[in-house]
Amino acid sequence: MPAGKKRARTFEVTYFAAGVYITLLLILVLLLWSSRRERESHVRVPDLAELEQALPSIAGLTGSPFLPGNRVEILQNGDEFFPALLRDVAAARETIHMETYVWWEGDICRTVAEALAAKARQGVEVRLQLDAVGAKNGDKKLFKMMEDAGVRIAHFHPFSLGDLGLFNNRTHRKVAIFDGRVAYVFGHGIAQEWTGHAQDEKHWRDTGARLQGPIVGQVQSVFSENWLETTAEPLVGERYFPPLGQVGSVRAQMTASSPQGGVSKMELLFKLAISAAQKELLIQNPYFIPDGEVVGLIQKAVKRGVDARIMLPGAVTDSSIVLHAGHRHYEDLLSHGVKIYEYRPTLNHQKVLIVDGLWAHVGSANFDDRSLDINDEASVGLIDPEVAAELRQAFSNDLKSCTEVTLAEWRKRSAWHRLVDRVSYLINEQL
Amino acid sequence: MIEIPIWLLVVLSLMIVIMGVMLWTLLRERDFHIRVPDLNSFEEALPSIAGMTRALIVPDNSVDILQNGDEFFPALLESIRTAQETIHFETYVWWSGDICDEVAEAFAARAREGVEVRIMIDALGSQKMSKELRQLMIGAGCQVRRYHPIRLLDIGQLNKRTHRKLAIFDGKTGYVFGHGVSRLWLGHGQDKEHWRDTGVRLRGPIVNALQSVFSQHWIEETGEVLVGQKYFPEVEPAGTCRVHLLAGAPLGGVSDLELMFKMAIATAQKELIIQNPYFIADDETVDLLARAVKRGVEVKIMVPGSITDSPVVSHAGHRHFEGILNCGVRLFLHEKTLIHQKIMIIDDVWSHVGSTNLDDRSFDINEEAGVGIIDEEVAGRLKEAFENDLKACVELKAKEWGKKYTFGHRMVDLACYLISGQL
Repeated sequence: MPAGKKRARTFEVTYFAAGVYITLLLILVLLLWSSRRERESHVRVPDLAELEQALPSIAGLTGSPFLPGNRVEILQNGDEFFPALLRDVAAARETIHMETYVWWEGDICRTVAEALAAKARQGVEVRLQLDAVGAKNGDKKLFKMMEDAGVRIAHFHPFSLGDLGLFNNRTHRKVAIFDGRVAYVFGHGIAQEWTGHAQDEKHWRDTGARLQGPIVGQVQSVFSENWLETTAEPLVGERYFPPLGQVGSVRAQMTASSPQGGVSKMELLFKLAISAAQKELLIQNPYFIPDGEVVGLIQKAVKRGVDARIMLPGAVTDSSIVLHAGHRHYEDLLSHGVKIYEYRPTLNHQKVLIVDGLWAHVGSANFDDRSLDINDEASVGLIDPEVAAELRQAFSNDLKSCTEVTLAEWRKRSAWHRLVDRVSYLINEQL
Repeated sequence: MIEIPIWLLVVLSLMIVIMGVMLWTLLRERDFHIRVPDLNSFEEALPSIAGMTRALIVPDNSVDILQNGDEFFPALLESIRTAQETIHFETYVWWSGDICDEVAEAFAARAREGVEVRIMIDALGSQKMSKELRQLMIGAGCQVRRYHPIRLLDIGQLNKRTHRKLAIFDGKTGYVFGHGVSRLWLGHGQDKEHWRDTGVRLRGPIVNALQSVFSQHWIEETGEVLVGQKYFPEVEPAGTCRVHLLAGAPLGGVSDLELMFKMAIATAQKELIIQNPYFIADDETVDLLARAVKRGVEVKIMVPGSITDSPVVSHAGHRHFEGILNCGVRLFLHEKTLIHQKIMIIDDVWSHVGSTNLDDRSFDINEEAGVGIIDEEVAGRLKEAFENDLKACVELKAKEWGKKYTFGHRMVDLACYLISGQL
């Protein structure tokens, strides 16, 4: 290469300047890494005694106290969820708040948007918190239509220079609150995939809860957190936080997590729930990538006689890397007597946890590092034999469409499959 | 000299810029603006204040106010001596000598008798604690952990300290206070060497929430998850006070404590009393105070006069004195000792006691804890103490301050204010 041309492409610096440059770079890397790293990821959860006795500790450790006196309706799939939601939108008098991750495309988006816009035109305060990534493919015209009608839309952590360090932190929460008196906590996204009744691959399976009673104040509180962050507007007044009397018999807790140093509340919740189980542990989750510690806790649960059943997606998934990463621990679980079922008809997207037929959780949190350490999540815990029985019944129904994974068959899987599982697990932390 | 390709220089420069921006976005403050509807009483705002700060208002508690070291340390030592199963203690300042040794020995004695003793001390605030004293406690069986130890690998978190002051005994009795463990907090605020401070002893269901806050740092530093009735018992009703616990966890979002203080100022209807050792108002606080005065609220703020352990913070605070005085706030400078208590009293019904200073370090960087107490008797007793403190104060009038406030002083204040974000 001619000398002249070479000089044009290089830059001469002194060793000192190069040293300063590299040092600066290293300091920045260290600062960034150390400010966000999880300092102590190995929590040691002790064996718990009877569930009822452990509940005050679980409430305290996860910062989610149990409030008595709530009424709960479980809403299965889009067929039950959307009509109920739209009824409450129509009935709202003063305030409608909704936070969700997914807002994609389809008729249901238009239906929801039009319902919200209609209320805003009537003078109802409508606040819609969308995740900037989850809703980036949403129809801009619909957003514009809602905003013109007076709906206030806030996008959580958009890709902007001012939020660069927070970009990886998404809000995966799904909540809605009407007049501060009725609340929804759910797994559904606003997209055509969540309509229907899980009849085929294009209509997913999901579960939500409609809540009335004192717990609604806690759901509002969770909504207000991100609303304040994105809009700088604190909510003051009875139309947001009205007095809430007891209306039912369900004890409920609201668990919400946000990556704020230390160990996430959602991670603690899941680990404590597994440790608390004495008879039965049912898990339905679309993305299940437990760490070694969770696997150990589930194994211990089985050892003390817990019937542990985990229902995961089979061939139908929207993220095959996550699916494969999850396979990593199948053998450890199966060989210890955990039962694993793969749901055949469609993506089972619901995040349901049922402990001892008494304590159930319904919400947004997947069983993976992104949900447990990175995203903002929300889940409602319900203590009531009837609610738990209803969710157990749904679990049993789903079971009919599942294939049980057996250890013998699992061990026969191909070398290629094993390799894909391993590689997927290595990159799973950020998925 | 070395030659490096231009593309490498460009890539490295880009990386430095991007990482610099990422760091800045992680650390920068987020502003918020409080719009408050017309309220008939401050009570109406309480559910919203608790809701916005994700705290539950818990009924049925008893609250004992502990003034200065003279009331605080004997009560604390008595609780240590009578604890049966668990003792949890978290604090920022803990040095060595006299009271520091006495408290350490009391913990050690209980640990020797089989009580589980967990102590979380801030690694920076307790730098003056001797190794021997820590060893004494550890040797006796206490679990002593230092929050955010000064290590290169933790450089990104070193600025974040725990400023919380908490003690929980058997999960049933809790303390929230402003006192450090040091001889400066002994006595009864009689002189410069004996500071003025206030704490509360709580009994009742709110103690579960205190334990919950303690468990956060404990899990972060040790991984130990505290499960069982000796930590989280079913606590019986113990009194008639409603209490909500505030524990700041600022990252990304807005600090609960800053939000709480500003919402409280924005919603007071009759009277607002503030006592705080470090008061650096921002423009919005001045505006909120002005609006409070305008709607008829009597606003009284007491801050240290010439006696302070941080002249820079004092000067930074001066920057908004003029604005505050001009809008009709009454400002009192305490001249007898350092008033270290963090008190707020509103409308004779609600009061706050805790660890939070009214500055950016407490609001946006540190971990803090405080309680809001809804009880007229507690508010009355704290107001009585405030009025007593007034006797050692000089009221600062707008006119005098205007005369005293020279150009040189202004410049010093401005410089202090500009660096005050980190103080």
